[in-house]
Amino acid sequence: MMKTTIQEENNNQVVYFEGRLDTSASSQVQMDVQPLINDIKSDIILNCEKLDYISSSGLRIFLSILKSAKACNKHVYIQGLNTDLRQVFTMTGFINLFEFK
Amino acid sequence: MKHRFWNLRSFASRLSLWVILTVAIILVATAAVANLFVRDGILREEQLRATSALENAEEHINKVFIAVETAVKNHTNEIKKNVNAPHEEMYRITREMLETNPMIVGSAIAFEPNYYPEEGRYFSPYSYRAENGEIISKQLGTATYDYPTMEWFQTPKQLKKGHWSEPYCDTGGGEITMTTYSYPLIDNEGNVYAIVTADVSLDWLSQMMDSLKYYDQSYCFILSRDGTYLAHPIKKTVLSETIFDAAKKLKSDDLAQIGHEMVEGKNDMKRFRSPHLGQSFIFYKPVIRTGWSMAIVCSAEEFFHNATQAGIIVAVIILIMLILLAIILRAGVRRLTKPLVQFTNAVNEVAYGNLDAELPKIKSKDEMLRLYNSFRKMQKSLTFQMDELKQVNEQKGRIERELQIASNIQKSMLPKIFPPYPERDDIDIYGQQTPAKAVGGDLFDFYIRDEKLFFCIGDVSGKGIPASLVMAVARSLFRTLSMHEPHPDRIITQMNDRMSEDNELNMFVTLFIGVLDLPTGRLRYCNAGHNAPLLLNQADNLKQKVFLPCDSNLPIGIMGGWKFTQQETNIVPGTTIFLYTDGLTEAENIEHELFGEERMINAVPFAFDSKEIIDSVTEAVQAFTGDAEQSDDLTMLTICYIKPDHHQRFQQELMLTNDVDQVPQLNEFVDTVCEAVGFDMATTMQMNLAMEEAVVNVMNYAYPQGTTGDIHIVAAANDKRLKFVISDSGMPFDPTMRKEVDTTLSAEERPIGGLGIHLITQLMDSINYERRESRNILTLRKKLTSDN
Repeated sequence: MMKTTIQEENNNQVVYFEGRLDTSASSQVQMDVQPLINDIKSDIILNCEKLDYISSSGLRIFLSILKSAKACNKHVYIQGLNTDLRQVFTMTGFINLFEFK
Repeated sequence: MKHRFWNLRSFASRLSLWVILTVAIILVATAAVANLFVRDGILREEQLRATSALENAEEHINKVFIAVETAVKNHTNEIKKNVNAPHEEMYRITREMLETNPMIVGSAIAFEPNYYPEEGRYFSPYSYRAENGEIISKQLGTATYDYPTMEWFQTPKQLKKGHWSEPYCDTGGGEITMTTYSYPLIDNEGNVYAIVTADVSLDWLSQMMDSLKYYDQSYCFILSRDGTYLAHPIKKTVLSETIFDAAKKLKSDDLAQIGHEMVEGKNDMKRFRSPHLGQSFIFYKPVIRTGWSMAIVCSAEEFFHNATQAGIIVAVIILIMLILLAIILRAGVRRLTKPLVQFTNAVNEVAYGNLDAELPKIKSKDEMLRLYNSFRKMQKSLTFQMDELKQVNEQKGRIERELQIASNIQKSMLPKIFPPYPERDDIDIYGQQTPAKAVGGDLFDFYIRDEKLFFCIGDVSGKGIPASLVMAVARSLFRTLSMHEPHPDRIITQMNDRMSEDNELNMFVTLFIGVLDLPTGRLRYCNAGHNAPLLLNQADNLKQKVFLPCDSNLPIGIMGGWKFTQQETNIVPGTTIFLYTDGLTEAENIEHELFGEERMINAVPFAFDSKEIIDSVTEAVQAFTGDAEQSDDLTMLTICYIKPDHHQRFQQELMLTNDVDQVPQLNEFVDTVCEAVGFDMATTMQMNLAMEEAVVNVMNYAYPQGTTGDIHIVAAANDKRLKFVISDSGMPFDPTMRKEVDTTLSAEERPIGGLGIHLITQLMDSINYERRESRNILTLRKKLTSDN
């Protein structure tokens, strides 16, 4: 289903999303990233290479990470987003909020 | 500019001509009168001169004749004394007579026959001058010359007094004109016993008359008692011709008349036409002693020669004076009117648009100065008015341009792409507006939101720009308010509230708003005082034209707070809604008849093509109005609600509860459906996303937390599109009413929620919400195209 992994790489917090981030998965993912949100030490990279799907509830999680990072003057980068999902980011205007690597 | 000297169109020339004409008339008249007086004077002078000349001549004649008479009388005594003396004495007396009187050329003492018996029957001693001047005496009476029978003897004898004979021609000693004075000698008994004669030559008469002529061509003549010429320049006429013979010969009645008057002894002057001299004057006077008449004839031409000459000189002087006058006048007037020419040029320049044309400088303080002032004033006023006119024109042009722009803007506010929904097969719409002026006060609009057709038609009171402004307001209010409000009565109520505020001009709008739910055919509508639309029902071979029943609501803009009522009906596919403004029913022809509802109903044809319907009605109304001017804006809107004849290809259902954990089930369902209709991966993902958002919305909002409810999902596809119908029995919840998210906001400003419905509208072709039979029914549609 949905797997979320957080690793520290090159002084960045990297979050690996894997699978479908739909509404049913969102509460789990929210819980998974909560530690990160609570303690932002460095810039955050959201690795979406293996993310197949994201719904508005997933987008809300992304937005909450971003808001927290911004509050700490840290950057949030999105990495490896596929074309279909990039279209969803475009539709929602999220493409303007995040920095892409 | 060219100037001919006598250009009669020039003021200077005409003025000069008039002055010259006047002066010429005065001068010529004066000269003519003067000439008349001069001629009269000449005539009188000449008459005097002639009269005195004639008097002198008469006197001369008298003198000669008296001298002769005296000489004869003087000798009678001597004759009487010597009657008884020797007869030789008588010869001596005759000779003496000649010797003492040179003008006597012959003298005789003719005794009565047989006075001296010894001398025989005739004794008449006669002496005469021969050609050499010698005095020759002879006996006059001979056998052939019986002198007692002669006139010169008989007349004095009978009259017993002296008598002058008629002049005669003496052929004896050359051709001499002669006259003889005979004087009777009377004895004591009173018997005439002898006649003493003295012959006088009249040759001097001619000489004397010649001396009287004082003009080259004048001549004189003398007539005897019977009119015979005694003296005349033509010698052969003397004694051989009378004046009457001459008159007859020359066919001159004038001459004959003059002859009679002369013979009668009249003293006069006459103007006549002389055969020799032409127009002439004749002066004549009788010689009383002899009964003759003398005349002087003068040529009138010669007579008035001087006067004529003087006249010619005067005429030449007048001519020269007139020419001088013309030149001076012309120059003077031209000099005076020169500013006029300059004014003319200036005015011409002004006429060609140069308002600053230079005016002539006027130094005089006369009418020219006043003219100058008037021109100046005119120039200034023209400049001012031209400027004003220019401004007005510019303003007018600007207004016209702006009006054109306004017209374009207004047209752009109306739907103008027809057919508006070529991809749809359930609806066919056509609208048309014909404003009476550049801009109109009618409006119509329609658009589809969430599978609902929002449409309106309205008519703003009045026409032109004010109406068009209100129309623009009404149209934008309709668009704005209907965006979040599916109920026409509420849209209209809000529009009314807004437009009633500050409506000082009391402009109002009659408006009909309809909301047609396309999937179900449910029509909700609200009519604010507009004409009721006509429904054409042509489904299932049923052909009906009925007006849509409408509540009587106020037009909007009149009374804020008015509660407008909503009406509802079901429209079956195959029904056409025909909407119009009163510009159609109140279209007038030349006779001011109205087109009316009945004609309109007949004009609307049963057809499934919305444009065809409006074209037919337009044609009918144009045929009715003819050349009459369109008095009101005319707007028509036709909505054909068509029954789609696509057969359903596919249908699948899913039943869920309000549990987000069931989303994977939904995901699976959508994947299956998408695969069935042949969507690609990307589209499938989009369908998943849209459906998840829609269903999760229902799960979250339709049922209160802690309650359980069902969510029924139907997926159906025909040849054209895929349709998802999500229905639930929860509390009313219209996701289409959620506020649109602003995707341009920054991360800090972005709210966490609201993304779902935004994604649905982005991903699906249409979204439609209906609440029916206590159920929320949400329909999502996606077109099937070759791309997906």
